[in-house]
Amino acid sequence: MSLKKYYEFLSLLVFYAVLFFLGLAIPGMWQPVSLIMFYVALGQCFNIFLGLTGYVDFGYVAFLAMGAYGMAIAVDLLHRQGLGVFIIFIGLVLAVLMSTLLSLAVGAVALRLRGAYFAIATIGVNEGFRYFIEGARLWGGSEGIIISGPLRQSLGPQTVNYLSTFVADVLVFLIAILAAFVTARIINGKMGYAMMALREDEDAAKVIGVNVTKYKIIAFVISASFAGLLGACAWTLKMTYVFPADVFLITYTIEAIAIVMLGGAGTLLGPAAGGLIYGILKYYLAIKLPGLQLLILAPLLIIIIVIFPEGVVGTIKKRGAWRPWNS
Amino acid sequence: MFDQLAGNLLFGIVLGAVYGLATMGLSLIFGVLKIVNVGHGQFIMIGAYTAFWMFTLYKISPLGSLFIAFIIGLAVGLIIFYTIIKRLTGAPELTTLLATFATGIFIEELAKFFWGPDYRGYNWDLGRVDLGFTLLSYSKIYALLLSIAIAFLIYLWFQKTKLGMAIRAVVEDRQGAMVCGIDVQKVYALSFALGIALTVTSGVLVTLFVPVGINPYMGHEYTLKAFVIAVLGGLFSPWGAFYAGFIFGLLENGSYTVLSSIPGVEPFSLTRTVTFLVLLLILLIKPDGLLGGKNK
Amino acid sequence: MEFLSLENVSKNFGGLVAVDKLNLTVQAGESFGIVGPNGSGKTTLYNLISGVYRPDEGKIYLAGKEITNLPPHARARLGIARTFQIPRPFNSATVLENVAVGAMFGYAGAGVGDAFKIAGQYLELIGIDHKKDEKAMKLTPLEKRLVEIARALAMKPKLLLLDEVMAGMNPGDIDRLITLLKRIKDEENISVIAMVEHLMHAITKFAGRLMVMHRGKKLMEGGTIEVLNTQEVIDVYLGKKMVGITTC
Repeated sequence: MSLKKYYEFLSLLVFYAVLFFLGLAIPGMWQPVSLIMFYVALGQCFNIFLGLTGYVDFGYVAFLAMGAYGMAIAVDLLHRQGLGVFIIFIGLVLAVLMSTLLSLAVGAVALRLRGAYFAIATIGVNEGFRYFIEGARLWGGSEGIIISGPLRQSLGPQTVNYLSTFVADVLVFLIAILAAFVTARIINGKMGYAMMALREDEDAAKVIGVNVTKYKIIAFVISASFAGLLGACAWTLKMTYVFPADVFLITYTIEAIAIVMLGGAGTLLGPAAGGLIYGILKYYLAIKLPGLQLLILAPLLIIIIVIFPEGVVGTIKKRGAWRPWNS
Repeated sequence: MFDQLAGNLLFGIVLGAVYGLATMGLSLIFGVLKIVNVGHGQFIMIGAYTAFWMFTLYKISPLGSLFIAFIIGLAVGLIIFYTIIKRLTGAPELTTLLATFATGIFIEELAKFFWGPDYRGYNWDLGRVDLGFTLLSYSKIYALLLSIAIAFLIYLWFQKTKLGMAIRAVVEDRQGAMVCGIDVQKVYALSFALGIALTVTSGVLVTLFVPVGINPYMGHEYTLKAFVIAVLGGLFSPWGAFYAGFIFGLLENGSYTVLSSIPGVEPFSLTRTVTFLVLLLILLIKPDGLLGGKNK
Repeated sequence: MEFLSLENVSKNFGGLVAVDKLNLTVQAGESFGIVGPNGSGKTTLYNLISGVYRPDEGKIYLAGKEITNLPPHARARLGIARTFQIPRPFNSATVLENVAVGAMFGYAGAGVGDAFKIAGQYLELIGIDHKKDEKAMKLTPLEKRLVEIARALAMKPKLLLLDEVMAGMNPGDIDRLITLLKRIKDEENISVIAMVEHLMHAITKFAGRLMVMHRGKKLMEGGTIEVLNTQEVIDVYLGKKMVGITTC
């Protein structure tokens, strides 16, 4: 067992705990804290694929959307069954199922492609799927699904209120912890070395015996499943509705990329740092300059990219800071 | 129904010409600089707004706007090249991908900031011609002819002028071109600027088809289409892209017609899904080799 | 026993025929040499055997099993290991990690702990263990090549393909490496070691049998000394007669 890697994970836990208590202890802090945690969680989930493989999935938000829909569909269909709180668990399961299925479908095609072709393929996933839902009038079409009514019927208004203003955010904390844990476990083991090899030099990795496609798929699917969980909790449970126009916003993908790059892709602590900085930035911007987040974020991203010309992505490939200490 | 199909297909060809022109820039940039301009659609948006403002403020027809758009495109392209692209030589391709992506987002946010998110449009109505099975407006005929004309001009430019040949040389063999005394950096800058200029110019023509659809976010839909066309026509070749534009126009309108006849679906949205699926299909069938080196 | 066999294997790139209907059989236990002018297809041949390329026609067999369409990682699992002409270590990883990865995913298939032990052993054997905690990107090209050899060996291969590993080495080092390779071949039960080389000194010391390639085709095959003394080979490749060669 590698002590150092778990040391990093433990310090991450401490960081999360501090945030949690800050949010509870100081009045009015829960909102910014939950926003920060959303971005930290987003970063941790996205990092599983980006950080491990070095590939950028431009359609990532579609997996969050799938999760959001999963939860909404579960509630919508089952709220009359008298399942009480159990319906939330079913919703989570369905969320993961749906995002995982989509990732398998997309991955089967996109992961055979290299570099820019992969990016092109994934860019379309978002759009393609959103317009499918709207075009085929699936799951409420462009009107989405509203679950506030059904939830209240099923659980009572007080519980629902508690759910969407507190429990949903706590779940986001848990997701961040779980994602970080899974990341740490992967890098600690043989898979971590396979990922390092495929990140550094895919062809050399293949010749050494690493089944590059298999590992890419694993990282892709795990990252997508977590995204599903996140979408279900941070969006559907919190807002109690799902609109395709909202949940397929490419903005979230950009934010995920920015967070991971800002904090340092390929590291365990990076997404947390990035999420913290970005969450604070966004909260502040939302108050002072609403509607301008992307306007500021986009050039920020450009500057980050240009100042690390070997690619912040290249920096992962060259300095993937995950290195269990075994000798 | 047959009339409608024929009408839609004709429309597809006409629109396809503009699509093709719009994609040429993408292919040019990719062919010379090996950069995928993910912000492609946003440049079309710039062209669209140019046409809109020129018409609304100065009563300049889209014909005139073409020249203005071209100049704007060259200028914007050069600026972006020297501030961003040039600093990224040697960086892994995903990095430049991200950079063009962020640039595109920045451009559309700027557009939203200055011009607001509302939909704009203008009306350049020159009447229609009655072809029996359908009516085709003159403005669209102009769009078709102009697209072909511009594409042809560009072709001639590449074949006959010194600069054009220099670009072709660099595409063929960069080091050989350097040894011949060609300033490769200038070729890169020029190619990029030209690619952007072509894209912006095509944005003007696009407005002849979506007269009230101009808004900061209109670019996204064209980016996806451009990729499909580019991949169809061969990512490296501007001419291939132009021809592929026609094929795509036919495909898109054909699918729209077919989908319209299916009850309970929204053909417009679903066509975009079909577009994406076609892209996936092509990417699957073509070897993944072109960028990563042939593996099989 | 036939260990590696290629039947009518061809590979084209666009209009260029890199390997042209090649037939080759290597027996278990051989130390086999591959020589030829630049561009004759030697590295393409290695790419075909290790799975980086699929042949346009023909079949490849390893120990009787057909591997023509197997992906590279599957071939590595079956026991094929290779080095690259221009070394490709994992730059941001340490030397020790580089070699350990070989032990983890090659034929050896070791767990993480064992893999590092194995890696340590091979690094010592090759003589580069003093650099084991250095990041691979900091090594000299020669050291990188040694790391690649160690990595390939750590995979515990049955077929080892070496690609111009002697380039830049002095005669003393070459002799030492060849002696080491022969020892490892026996002790570790590597069925075949193939060596692409330009250094005749190394080839004559190492290889019992030799194939000369020219323009993608097999020009000649046979006992090392015989082949190197054949007029055709001299004309095409060597340029002058090799006088006074001795083998070990």
